[in-house]
Amino acid sequence: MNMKECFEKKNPLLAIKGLSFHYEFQKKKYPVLKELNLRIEQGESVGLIGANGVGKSTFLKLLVGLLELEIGEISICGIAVEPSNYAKIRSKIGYVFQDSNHQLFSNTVYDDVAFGPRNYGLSQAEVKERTENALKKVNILPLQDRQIHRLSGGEKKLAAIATILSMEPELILFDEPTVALDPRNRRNLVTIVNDLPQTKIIASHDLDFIEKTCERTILLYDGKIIADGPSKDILHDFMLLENHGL
Amino acid sequence: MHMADALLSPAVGLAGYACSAATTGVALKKLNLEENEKKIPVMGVMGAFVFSAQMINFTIPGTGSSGHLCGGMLLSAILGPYAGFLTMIAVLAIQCLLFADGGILALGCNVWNMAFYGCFVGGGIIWLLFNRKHISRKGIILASVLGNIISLQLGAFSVTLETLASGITELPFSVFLASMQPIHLAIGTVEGLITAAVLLFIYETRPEILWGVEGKEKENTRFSLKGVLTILSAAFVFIGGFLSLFASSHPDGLEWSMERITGSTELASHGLLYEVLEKIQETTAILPDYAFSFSESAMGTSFSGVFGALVVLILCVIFCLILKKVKKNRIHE
Amino acid sequence: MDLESSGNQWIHLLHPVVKVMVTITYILFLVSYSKYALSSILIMGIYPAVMIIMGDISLKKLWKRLKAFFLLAFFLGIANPFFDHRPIFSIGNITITGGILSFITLYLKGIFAITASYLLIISTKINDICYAFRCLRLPKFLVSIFLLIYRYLFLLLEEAEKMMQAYALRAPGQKGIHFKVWGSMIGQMLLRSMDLAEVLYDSMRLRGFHGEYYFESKRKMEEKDYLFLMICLLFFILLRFFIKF
Repeated sequence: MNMKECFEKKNPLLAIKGLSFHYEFQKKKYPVLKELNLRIEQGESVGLIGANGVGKSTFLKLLVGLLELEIGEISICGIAVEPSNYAKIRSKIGYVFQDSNHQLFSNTVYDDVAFGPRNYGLSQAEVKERTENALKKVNILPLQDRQIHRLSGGEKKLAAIATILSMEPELILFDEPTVALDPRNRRNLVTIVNDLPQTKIIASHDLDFIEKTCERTILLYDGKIIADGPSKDILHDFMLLENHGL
Repeated sequence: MHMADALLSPAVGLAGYACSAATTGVALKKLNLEENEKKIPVMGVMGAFVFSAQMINFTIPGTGSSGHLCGGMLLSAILGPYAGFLTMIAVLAIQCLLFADGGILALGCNVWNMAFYGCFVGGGIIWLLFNRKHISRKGIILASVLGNIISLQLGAFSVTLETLASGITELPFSVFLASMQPIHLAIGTVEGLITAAVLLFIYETRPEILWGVEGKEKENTRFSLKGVLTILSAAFVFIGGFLSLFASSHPDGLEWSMERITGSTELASHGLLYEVLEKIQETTAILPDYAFSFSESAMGTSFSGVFGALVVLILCVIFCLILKKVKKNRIHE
Repeated sequence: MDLESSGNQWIHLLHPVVKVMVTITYILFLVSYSKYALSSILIMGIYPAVMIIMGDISLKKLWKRLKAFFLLAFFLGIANPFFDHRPIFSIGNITITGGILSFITLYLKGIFAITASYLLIISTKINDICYAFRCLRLPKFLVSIFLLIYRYLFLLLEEAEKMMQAYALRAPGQKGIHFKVWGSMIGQMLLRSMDLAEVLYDSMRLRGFHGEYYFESKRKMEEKDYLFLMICLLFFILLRFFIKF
C-alpha cells in the first residue's frame, strides 16, 4: 500500500493499541511499557521524552520489529507489525541509531548509503540516483568516497541519516540524534531534520532540540504516556518534567 | 609466526593455499551463511576485536617481558571452529594486505599454521575434549592452555617443515626444530593463560556466549565426528605431502626416521601426490633442487653474472629516472 | 595507508585485478629462483624499481613502513653462511661461499617480495582489493567478513588504545597489563564487541540485509590494463626461462 492509498482509507500513519512489553531476566519479568495507545498522523513530527530506562528505545525497536511484539497491536499505514510483514514495514521506516558507528558498517560513505537500495534490488542507475539524492539532502555529497573511519562525529551522523533517506522511508525514527554533537553540528541537524518532509519520531533527552524540531511531544513515565500534546506546553511545564524524572 | 614470501618455494606456497582453500570450502558449507546471515556481522566484529586485542601487551608475572593474545583458539571458543576459522582467514588476510605482515604467497601457509591448528585442533578437538558434557572452570583453563600449546607446537612444526621443504635454509632439521619448538612452548603457555583468563571472565559474566553451552543454537555448526575426521585426514594429507616432498630431497635422514615411526619408508601419500609434484617440478623447475652439483656453471652463478645483472638493474633505474625527467620537463613546457 | 592508496597516478588507476595478478605472479616467479641465483634475482629487482620510479612512490614512506620488515628479512638466511662453506667464486682475496651467496639472494628475495606487496597495497583501495577478490571468485561471505573487520578494526583499535591509556594512567610504571586483570579487561572488550555485533546486525537487517553484501561491478579491463599485464608477464617469463645471466 502506498501513501496515497493509506490516506484514502483514512488510516493513520501509525496506530498503537494496548501495547505492553516486558523484559525477562533470570525468570523474573520486568515490565517496560504498559498499555500504550497512540495515533500519529502523516507528516507529524513527534518528540518522545522520558527519563533513562523508561522504554523509549524499546518503543522504537518494537515499531521496526527488532523486538517482537507480545501484547497489543501496532500498525503502520494499516499494515500490522508482525514477522511476516517485517520486510514491507522496514522499507517504510528508517531507524537512525544513537551511535552512528552502528549504522555505518561499510567502508565508504557511498557504499553505506547505497546498501539499503541495493538490498531492495534496484538497478545500478536507480541506486546511484537515490544515493546521490540522499547525500545531497544532508549536504555531504563531496564526502561520498571518504572512508567512514575518517569522518568526524558530525559527518558520521549526517551520513547515518543519508543511509536512511536513500531508502525513501515514510517514517523516520531518531534515537538520541544529538548525542556527541557539537553546538554547530547540532544546529545544522535542526535545519536538516526540519527540512525532511517525512513523519518523524525523535526520542531524546535534548529538550531544546525537541522543541525546535517537533510540534508534538509525548512524555513517557513508568511505561505509560503521562502527557501528549503541543511541545510548547509540555516542555515549558517544569513541574510536570521535574515530577517525571526530567 | 607470520611467514614471509621469501621463506617459501612456489610449490609449498601453492600447496598451502590449496589446503587452506579446501578447508575454507568445508567451513563455508558447514556454516551455511546463506541461512545464518546473523553470523556475518558477529564474525566481522569479532575479527576486528581479536585484531585489536592483539595490540595489548600483558605483563608476564615474574619476568620483565610481555605477551599478547592469539586469536584462533579464543574465536573458536566463542564462534565455533568453522566460523572462527573463516574469521581468522580474514584477519590474516588483512594483516597481510594492509600491514604487510606475512607474505601474499605465504598467506595460504600462514592460514594453515595459525588458523587451522588454532581453530580446529585447539578450539575444536581440545576444547570439546574438556567441555563436551558440561563447561567448567577447570575445563576452560585446561582446554585453553593445552589447546594453545598444542596448536602452537603444530604450527611451529609446520613452519619448520614448510621452510625446509622449500629448501631455503641450510639449518639442519634438528637444529631448526630445536630452536622453534621450545620458543613456541613458552609463547603457547602465556597465550593459553591469557585466553583462559578471558574465557573465565566470559564464563562468569555471560556464559551463553561460549560455544557449545546449552541453549545456544548448535545444530548448524555442530562439530560432528565426521567433520573432525574429514579435517584430520586433510591435515594428514597436507603433512604427508610435505614429508614426502621433504623426503625426496633428504632420502637419508627423514626416511630413516619415518621408517622408525611407521615401519616402512612408503608414506601413504607418497604415490600420487609425490608423482604430481615431481611432474610440476620437472616441467617448471620451480623446486630448488638439493642435488645441485656444486660446480660454478651448474649453479648458474658466477661473479661476472652477478656483476652483469647488477649493471643491468642500475642502467634500468637510470633509464627510468631520465624518462621521468623528460616527461616532467615536457609537462612544464 | 589507505589515504595514499586513493591517489590519481596511473598506478592507482590500473584495474585492481591486474595489479593483484601481477603482484602474485611476480612473487611466485621471484621465489622460484634457486637460492644461489643472485644474478637473476638482481634482474627481478627491475620490476619494483621501475614501479617505484614511474609510479612516483615516496621512498621515504616506503622506508618508514617497511624498515622493520627489511630488518627481519636479514634473518631469513642468516644461518646459511655458517653451514655452507663451499666456495663459489672470489673477488680478489675474498672468497664468496655458497652460504654467503644464498644469504644475499634470500635477503634480496625478501626485500623484493615485500616491496612488491607494498606497491599493491599503496596503490589500491581496500574496496578495489575486495572487488578484485570477487573477480577472482573468492567466496562472497569471506569478502564481506574481510570488509567488516576492516571497518570495525579502527573503532576497536581506538578503544583498545584508550583502555591501555586509562590503565597506564592509574598504574604508572607497569610495562603491560597485570595478570590479575587480563581476563576482565579483554573480556569486557569482548562483551562490548558482541553487543556491537548485535546492534550492527539490527541496523543491517533494518535496511534489508539477508546475507548478501552487494558489490558494485566497477569497470571493465581497458587496453592499458591488458598492456600492463602482458608486459609484466612477458618480462617475468622471458627472464625465468630464456635469459640467463
